[in-house]
Amino acid sequence: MASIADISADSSAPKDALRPVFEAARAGDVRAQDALCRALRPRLYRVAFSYVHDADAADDIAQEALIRALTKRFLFMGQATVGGWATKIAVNLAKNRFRDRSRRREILDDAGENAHEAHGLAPTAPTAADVLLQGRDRDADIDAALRRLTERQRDVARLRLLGELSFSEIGRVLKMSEANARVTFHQARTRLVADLAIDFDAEDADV
Amino acid sequence: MSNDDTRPTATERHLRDVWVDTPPKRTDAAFSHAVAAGVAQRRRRGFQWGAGLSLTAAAATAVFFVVTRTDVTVPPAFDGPTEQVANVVIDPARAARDYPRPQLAALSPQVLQALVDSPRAPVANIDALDATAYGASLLDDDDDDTDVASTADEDGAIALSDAELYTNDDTLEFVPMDFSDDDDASLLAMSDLFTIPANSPYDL
Repeated sequence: MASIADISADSSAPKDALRPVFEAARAGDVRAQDALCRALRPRLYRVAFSYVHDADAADDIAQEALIRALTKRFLFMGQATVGGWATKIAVNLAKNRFRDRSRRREILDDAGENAHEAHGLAPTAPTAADVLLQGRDRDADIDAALRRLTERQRDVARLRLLGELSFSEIGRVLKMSEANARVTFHQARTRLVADLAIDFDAEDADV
Repeated sequence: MSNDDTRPTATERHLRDVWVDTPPKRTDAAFSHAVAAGVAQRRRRGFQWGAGLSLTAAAATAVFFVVTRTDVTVPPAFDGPTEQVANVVIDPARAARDYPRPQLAALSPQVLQALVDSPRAPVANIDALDATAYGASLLDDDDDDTDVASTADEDGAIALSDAELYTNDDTLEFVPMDFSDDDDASLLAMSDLFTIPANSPYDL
C-alpha cells in the first residue's frame, strides 16, 4: 500500500514552484502566506468571477478558497499543484455560490413583489435572470461567444485562460487526458478568436 | 502556448481580459490580511473530524469512527451559534465490539450533533451509533459551519463511498477521492487522525 510519503515523492507529481511557499504558509509563516495570496489571488478571482459576475463575491470566494487550502486538516498530497488544488476549491465555491443565489432568487421571484416588500426588500431587487442579463450586458460579445462553446470547452477554457492551469492539471481536474484537454482548449480558443474577431497574434502560431 | 507552458500568449491574455473585465476592489495587502485573519480564526476553532473503515477485497468488514474536537468557543464574529464542545472520542475497540463485522455503521448527522451538544460526551455515546445509517454521509451541505458536520463544504464533502483506504504500518489513511459532487482527481488524506494499535481487531 502506498504511504503518504510514497505518494508525495511520486515522480509523476507535477513540479510546483508554489509548493514550498504553500508548506511554509501552512506552517504559519506570515510572509509565505502573503506571497501565496499574491500569487494565487488573480487566478482564483478570475475563475470565481467567471461564474458569479460580481467582483465582491469573486474576491470573497478567492479569499475563502485560500483560507480553506491553508487550514484544512487534510493533507495535500501533491497529486496536483497547489494552484490547481486551490483553483478547484474556488470553482466549487463559485458554483455553490451561484447555485445558492439562483435558488434564493427563484424563491423570491416566486413569492412575488409583495413578498419582497414584506421582507423589507426593494421590489426592484434583481432576479437571477437579471443577474445573468447584467452579465450579458457587461459584454454581450464575450458572453455570446462563450455560450456557443460546449460546456466542456468552456470548462477547459476557464481553467486554462483564467485559472492558468497546465493541460495535465486540467486533465486531472476534469478527468480527461492531457491530450484531450489540449485539443479541447485549442477548439475553444479557435472558436473564441473567430467569434470575437481577435487579430491572431503571431506569437500564437506555435499552439 | 507550446508544450504545457501556462504563460498566456497575447491573444489569450486578451481573451482572459474580456472574459473577466472587472478587477477586484480590495488591495493585495487587504486581501492577504483578510486571508490571514480567516486562517487564524479557523485554526482557533481547532476542529477535526475523521472516519475510517477497513475493507477487504470482497466487502466492508468493520468500521470505527473518531470524532475529535478540542474545546473551543466559536468567535463572536463567526456567523453561527457559539458552541462549547468537549473532546469527543469514540473508541474504535468499542465500535468493534458493538458493531461486529461485517456490519458497517455510520454516525448519522443527528448523532454527531448530539455528541456536539453534550459538553462531556462519554464514550458510552457510542451506543447512540446509528447502525442503520449505513452509507449515510457524515456531512450536511448547509455550509454554515455551525455543526459538527460542517466540513461538508466544497473542498471537504466526503462520502464514504468515495473513499479508499490505505494502510501504512499501523496508520490508516482515509483518502477521499472527491472534493465534492464534482469530479476531482486531487487526493487528500487525514492520516493523522487514525492510529491503529498493533493488537487492534482492525489490524489489517
